[in-house]
Amino acid sequence: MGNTRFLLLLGLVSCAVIFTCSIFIGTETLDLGQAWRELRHLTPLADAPTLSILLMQRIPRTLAAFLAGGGLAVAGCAFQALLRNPLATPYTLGVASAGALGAWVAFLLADVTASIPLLALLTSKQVMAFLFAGVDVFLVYLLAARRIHTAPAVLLLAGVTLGMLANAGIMFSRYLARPDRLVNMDRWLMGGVDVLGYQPVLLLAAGVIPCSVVLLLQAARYDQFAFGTTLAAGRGVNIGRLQTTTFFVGSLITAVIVSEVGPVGFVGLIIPHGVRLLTGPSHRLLMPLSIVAGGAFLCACDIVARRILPGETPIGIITTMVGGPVFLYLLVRRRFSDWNV
Amino acid sequence: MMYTIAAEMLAFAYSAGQPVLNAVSTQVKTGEVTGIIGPNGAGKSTLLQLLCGLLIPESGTVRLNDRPLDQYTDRERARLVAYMPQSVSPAFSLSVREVVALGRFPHLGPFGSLGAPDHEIVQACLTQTETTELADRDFLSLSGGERQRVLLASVLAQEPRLLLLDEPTSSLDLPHEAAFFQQLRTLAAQELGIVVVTHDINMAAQFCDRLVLLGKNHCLVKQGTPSDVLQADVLTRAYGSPLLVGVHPQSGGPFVTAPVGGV
Repeated sequence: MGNTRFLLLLGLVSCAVIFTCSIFIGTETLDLGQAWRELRHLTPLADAPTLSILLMQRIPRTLAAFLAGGGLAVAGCAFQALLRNPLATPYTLGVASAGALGAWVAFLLADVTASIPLLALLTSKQVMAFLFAGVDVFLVYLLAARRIHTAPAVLLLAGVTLGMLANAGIMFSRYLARPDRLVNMDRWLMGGVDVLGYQPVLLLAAGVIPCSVVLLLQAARYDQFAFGTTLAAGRGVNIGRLQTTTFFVGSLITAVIVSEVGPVGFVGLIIPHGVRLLTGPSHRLLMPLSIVAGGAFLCACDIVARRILPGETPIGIITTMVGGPVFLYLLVRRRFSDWNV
Repeated sequence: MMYTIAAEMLAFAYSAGQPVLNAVSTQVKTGEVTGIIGPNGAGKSTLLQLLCGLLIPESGTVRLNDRPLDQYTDRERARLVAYMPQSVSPAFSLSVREVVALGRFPHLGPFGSLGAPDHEIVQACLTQTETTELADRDFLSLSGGERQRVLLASVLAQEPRLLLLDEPTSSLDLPHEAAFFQQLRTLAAQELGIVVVTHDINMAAQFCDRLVLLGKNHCLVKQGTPSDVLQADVLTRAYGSPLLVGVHPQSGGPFVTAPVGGV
């Protein structure tokens, strides 16, 4: 127990260090003394390049990475508990593919809608990604909803199938797209937290924070799912309500994140598994720590994207390059023997 | 205080036109062990789930202490009635103590934190089911008999007044089965109401105060004391095959077996 507490403390301190590094490490080295002088003299941001980089780029970028990583990790915990499946991720139900298709449709429509401001806003890649993800969620739910409660197996199959259909839609969009547009469109698919200013951060926060709170409040109920829905129902868990809440809130959080930072892979899969090694299966500890670890993981990947690899590597590539081997390591070490599936 | 579950004219179907239960009325109460018996597919497990509110009847009513069961919140109901399913497979590894602690859920606040009294109750349930020495073991590493005792401890941690069990001894050998039923009798003596679905008519005859016999036609065939219910003509009607009823060599109660040569 003492060892577990020490590891947890070490993990939390590491997360705080990563978060701080993410603010101060970037493609350009920040002179903190200069930033402090600019702040102390209340220099307007236009004339304060160092402070401007710190306030309008580094901090929003770090916050965006933390919110996206934390949100994907907590949604991963919730979906793994809901589907009783260690391979479930926030993307299992096809939300990411549908969101990506929405963003691609927005790219295709850009020429038509650019001249009409309201239409341009409504068909922006964020709005379209969110709408398409929402349609996917409703279709999956309609297919899986049963009289008493939702059928997890149908949920999974419907999600995977709709995800494949969305991927076919993306390929068709690629076929229709102008070649010079493909670079931008492909870049979005690789994910990125390179936000400017606080509007994207506020949008992420507005989706991720309330949804995370709702999911965290279900933690004790997810523990009851360990022995299946019948025993959980006998203990006083309203199964239908829990399934619906998890499904919609988990999908909403994912749709918001995908629409803002693109489909960043592996966070929602490996973070819950990694944290579970420290905390054990209790969701009351697993979920809040997964938020912190997921946020720190994406911040760390963003540091790698900015500093270690040449240029500014898309973060989705980094998360997959790190997440894939880590996941295989967990698989080889038989960490999934914890799961009786 | 006496607690009762009274079911009146219950009917249920999982899909339209295929009734699983038809016009069944019965009553169970604290201090008694009630056995639900009958052939495969008669609707025994369905009746049990209707009695504890996990299924909603198509027609008929279930009342817990004269109040319709659907007027209780899920947690209120779970504090009075506990349900132990036929088989469980945990999704991931949990220690025995963690499994038992899960039973405290209906008594906990929104964050599900266990206080000192909850830990004491968990320990008491481990002691009562003689599973204290298993407390730190992984649930998945236990034998079938040990698992059933731990699950019993887990549902006892709900501190229910009525405990409904669905074929709890189906995977146990005869001595373990008898020990499990003996434990149910002990619990009933402590003013807990026990309802148990079982295929073992002789265990039911030996350990139950009342039997509810469902037939192949999904209807109630007979209910009453084991001597009233376990009669050859009644059983033959319920099971649709001839069964022989003799006398138990030790208790002198009814003893049921199938005729030599099958049916």
